[in-house]
Amino acid sequence: MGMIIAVISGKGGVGKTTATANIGLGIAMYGRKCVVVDFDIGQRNLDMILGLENRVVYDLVQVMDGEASLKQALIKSKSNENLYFLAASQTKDKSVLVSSKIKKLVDELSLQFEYVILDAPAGIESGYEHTIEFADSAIIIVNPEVSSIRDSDRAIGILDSKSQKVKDGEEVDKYLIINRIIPEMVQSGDMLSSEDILEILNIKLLGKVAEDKGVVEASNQGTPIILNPKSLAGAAYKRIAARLCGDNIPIQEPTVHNKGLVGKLKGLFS
Amino acid sequence: MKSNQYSIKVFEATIEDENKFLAFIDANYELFKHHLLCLQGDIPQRVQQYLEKKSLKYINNFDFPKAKKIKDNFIMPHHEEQKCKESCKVISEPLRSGQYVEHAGDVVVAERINSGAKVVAKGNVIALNVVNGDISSMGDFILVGDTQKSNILFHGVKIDNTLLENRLNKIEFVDNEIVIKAISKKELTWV
Ligand SMILES: Nc1ncnc2c1ncn2[C@@H]1O[C@H](COP(=O)(O)OP(=O)(O)OP(=O)(O)O)[C@@H](O)[C@H]1O
Ligand SMILES: [Mg+2]
Repeated sequence: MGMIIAVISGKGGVGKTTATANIGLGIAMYGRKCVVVDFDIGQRNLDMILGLENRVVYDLVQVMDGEASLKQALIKSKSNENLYFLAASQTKDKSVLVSSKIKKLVDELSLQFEYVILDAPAGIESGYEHTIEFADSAIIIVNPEVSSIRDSDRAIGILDSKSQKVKDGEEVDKYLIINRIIPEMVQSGDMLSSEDILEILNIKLLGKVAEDKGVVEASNQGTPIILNPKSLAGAAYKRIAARLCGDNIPIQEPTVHNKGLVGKLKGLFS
Repeated sequence: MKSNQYSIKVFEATIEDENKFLAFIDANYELFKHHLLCLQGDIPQRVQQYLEKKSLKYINNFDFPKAKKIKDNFIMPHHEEQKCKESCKVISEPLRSGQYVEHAGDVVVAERINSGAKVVAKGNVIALNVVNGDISSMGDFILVGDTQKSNILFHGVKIDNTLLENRLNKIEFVDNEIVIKAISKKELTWV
């Protein structure tokens, strides 16, 4: 049985979908079979970040309603054959989700894939609750700012009270990714440090991802940043995926970008 | 022939008072996990359900060859202990944003009270870790550390955070006035 991982944040726009795409691809590149599922019903965009929007024929709601088979709806990634994608419905809203059907779907997926990654919608409403309902573990994405941290804290509280695993008396594993770290700002004390965040949220750290302008461009082009060997964020996601696959890689601190001599000279003349 | 021989511990009992029996089993659960319970007489349904839920093995009205009796160190659940349990709630998980704890007695919070979490107690509140959330107490005192971001109400009166400095504070009534006192580590050991 594969592992079911929900990617959550509470607050919107912190990088869940970006993380889902990159971690999924990273796991696939590591050689494991992985499926990424867009649970953001009505606001899908995982398809775009993976560059697969023109391949979507059937979505997960149709699979749950028996209008399409799982095989018909699963889309193979163009960059790695270990990665598959299941799209959200764009025309329906999240009220169509029903627990029993979700359970059936994720159970089926976990038979076929080693990793089943669910991209949660923003917020803590029913769409969120359905995403975490049958998860074995959760990846919590935060940005280093107080509102993101408080909203994640809230989402973790709900995870710890409403997921099926907790109701059965077990624990849902929780892993933290701190995304969009700007090292210069952390150094000058203008941005919350990772230690502060970990102290508040009190969960395991899975990785730190720096702010990286390449991310937006990569998303626009539908080629996840992990495919860019020069990107710092891409390298961070590669390490995160390896950790999820059981590799014991130490956490790397995003460092202050040190302008070389050429950079300094350029600075003089600009 | 292939055979195995085991010696197991059997706990034999006749249930007289359902509640007392359940409290007894509950208090000694760790021991009974490895026992076979032999219950003589009728087993009330509630007891049956409890045993099944806890996966405790039992047999009913069974006459087995009597072996050596042994004494075990069972805990007898104490009446007063239970009363204390009822009036004092201990929270050992961090309280996260959106979580709300309301209790008619005292509340002890061993972990953080995060921003957006709230504790409302008719009795005392003892917060041993960082507090960034809300506390309201109608008890004799609140015990709280340095908390610049919290919102603390003692008998409905908002406590000025600037008075809560980097130390452990006891907020209490002295002659009908709210007083904030620094607590030393020594005192804490017996609080
Ligand atoms: N490390 C990063 N550096 C720079 N930009 C980033 C980074 N991570 C994410 N972003 C950008 O942040 C924006 C939001 O990202 P994304 O869509 O992944 O967030 P989300 O949490 O899924 O949002 P929603 O809650 O709306 O679903 C996007 O424009 C994305 O390109
Ligand atoms: Mg998203």
